[in-house]
Amino acid sequence: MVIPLVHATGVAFAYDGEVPALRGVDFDLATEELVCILGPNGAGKSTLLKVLGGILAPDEGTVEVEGARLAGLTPRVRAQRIAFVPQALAALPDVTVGDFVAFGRYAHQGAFRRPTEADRSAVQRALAEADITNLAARPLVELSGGQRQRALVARALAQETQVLLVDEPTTALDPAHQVSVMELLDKLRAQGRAVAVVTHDLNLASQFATRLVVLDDGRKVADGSTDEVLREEVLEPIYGPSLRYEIWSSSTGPRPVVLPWRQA
Amino acid sequence: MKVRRSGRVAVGLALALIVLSGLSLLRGELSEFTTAEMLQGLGATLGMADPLPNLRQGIFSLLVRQTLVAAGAGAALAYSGALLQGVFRNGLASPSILGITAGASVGATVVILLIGGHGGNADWLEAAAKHSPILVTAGSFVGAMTIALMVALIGGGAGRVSVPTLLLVGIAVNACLNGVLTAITAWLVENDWMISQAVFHWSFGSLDSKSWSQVALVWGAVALAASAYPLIGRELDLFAGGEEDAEGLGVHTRRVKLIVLAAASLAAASAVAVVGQIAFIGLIVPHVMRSLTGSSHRSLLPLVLLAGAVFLLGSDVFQRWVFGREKFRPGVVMSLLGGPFFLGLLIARRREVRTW
Repeated sequence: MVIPLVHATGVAFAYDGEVPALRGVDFDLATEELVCILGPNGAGKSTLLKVLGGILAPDEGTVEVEGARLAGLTPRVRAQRIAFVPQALAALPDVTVGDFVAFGRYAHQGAFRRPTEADRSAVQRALAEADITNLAARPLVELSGGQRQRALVARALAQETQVLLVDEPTTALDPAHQVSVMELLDKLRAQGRAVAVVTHDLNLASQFATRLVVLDDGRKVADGSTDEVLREEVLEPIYGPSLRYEIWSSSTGPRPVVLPWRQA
Repeated sequence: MKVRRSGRVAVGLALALIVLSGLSLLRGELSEFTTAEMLQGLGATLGMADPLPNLRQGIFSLLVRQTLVAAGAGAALAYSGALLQGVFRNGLASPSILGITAGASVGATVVILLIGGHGGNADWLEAAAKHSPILVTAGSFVGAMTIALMVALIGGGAGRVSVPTLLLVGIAVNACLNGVLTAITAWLVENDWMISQAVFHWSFGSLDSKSWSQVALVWGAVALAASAYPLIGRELDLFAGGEEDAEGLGVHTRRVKLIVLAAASLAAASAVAVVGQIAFIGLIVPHVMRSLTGSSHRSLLPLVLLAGAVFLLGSDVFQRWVFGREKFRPGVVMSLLGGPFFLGLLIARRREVRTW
């Protein structure tokens, strides 16, 4: 049995202590997994990702990373183990891509320490992995949506963590960039990282996920392979009738395809 | 490019500070000194030369303290503004606009009232009156800190503090505090003319007639607040993407916010306690420096300390050299300058303002 890197049990969370977003969710994430977290708007997907990343503290339940309780770790140690890739960022004036990726080294640096050789090479590696080495000197605000997403991933890579939590990486991108960002995440998974991705895109999930988790109204309603989850019996109770289910062939064999489809 | 420029800007500011200090020591409101006298007086202040004859050394010493207080208070207020703008991720934050300065005023006024004979006839109050500068500072610090925490609670929460929220909270807080201040001064004018004069005098701000203990207070607070720099400089840069983002990168956001608010309040409170209400330095100086050297707090915070010192000392020196006697109190001058600057800032950002 694969021991999960991230192990969450019975996680509950309510915003302002009132509006429940998660009502007891179990979630595991192992190395070389790319788990897509699916579910309708307001299902609690991003909240779950933030709880797994230690950005939000759960009201109930526990999250463990590499066997250690997340709640007992300092932010610095936590950020050495888990990197969180947010959906979008506030505009950062006069920050270059290189500086921005170097922000990911914060957890590895002391208060007075200047960037070391290890920091510099980690930033270079991260830029190369995300294929944006040529953009390092450009101001962040000048990047296109796809480039910006890569910069966000590169910053997380500079944290040198085994766990990557990625919040809606493809939402703002054109179709070609959606695929290339998912290919990047798949490459990182294949290198041995544990990747969890929140997404609305059932078909990207179908092609890239090693496992799918579906949330609805703060509860986990499905957890399994793409073939098990992307089926009418599973999805119709959640998304309603306006979806059409197909099986298409692909380079990796037959894949389930789910399309939004006009009803009337 | 801007990073390399910050070195040159720092050198320029340091030189300006030295020149301004020299000019400040050559001409006070009532007295002038030659360069030779100035050097001898400085030597005597440091215990390395004979004092100037007659009362001249005493007068010169007042000028030394005025120079130190102006530079220190300017540095403190500008630094405080830069910290608040960083932690609220909002260029319109400053100690005066958020009401922290007014909070300090209420705290100081209450202390002046108490030790001025309106706190009953307790012996300890009479004894305490001997330490009035310290107590007034303590009172204004408590007032400033209370307001800083209140503003953080009301406007805070997890996300970015929106501009309208910040401004509205500031307006409301200032309105409440000004109400209290007006009530106190109105009552005092009727009932205790002497104390009302003390409150008035204090509230307009002054840079002259300062004691060494007040110099030490301002500079001690500046040193303490500045010593937080290694704990918050880089962290504030990471705050730019939002608090959750900073937390994800490993920043202890709650601790950083607390340190920043404490340092900003300490700096603002000590400055206000010693020189009175001098508004807008905390707004203007960080803005000017950011446009010169970029928004990275690692270079911005040290530069703002220097620039704040140059700014307040410079305006004091300008006044003394151009007008001779003090025509306006520094607080009045800053309000005259700062109001239009604030308005200009809003107009310059009007495209953004319309989308609020």
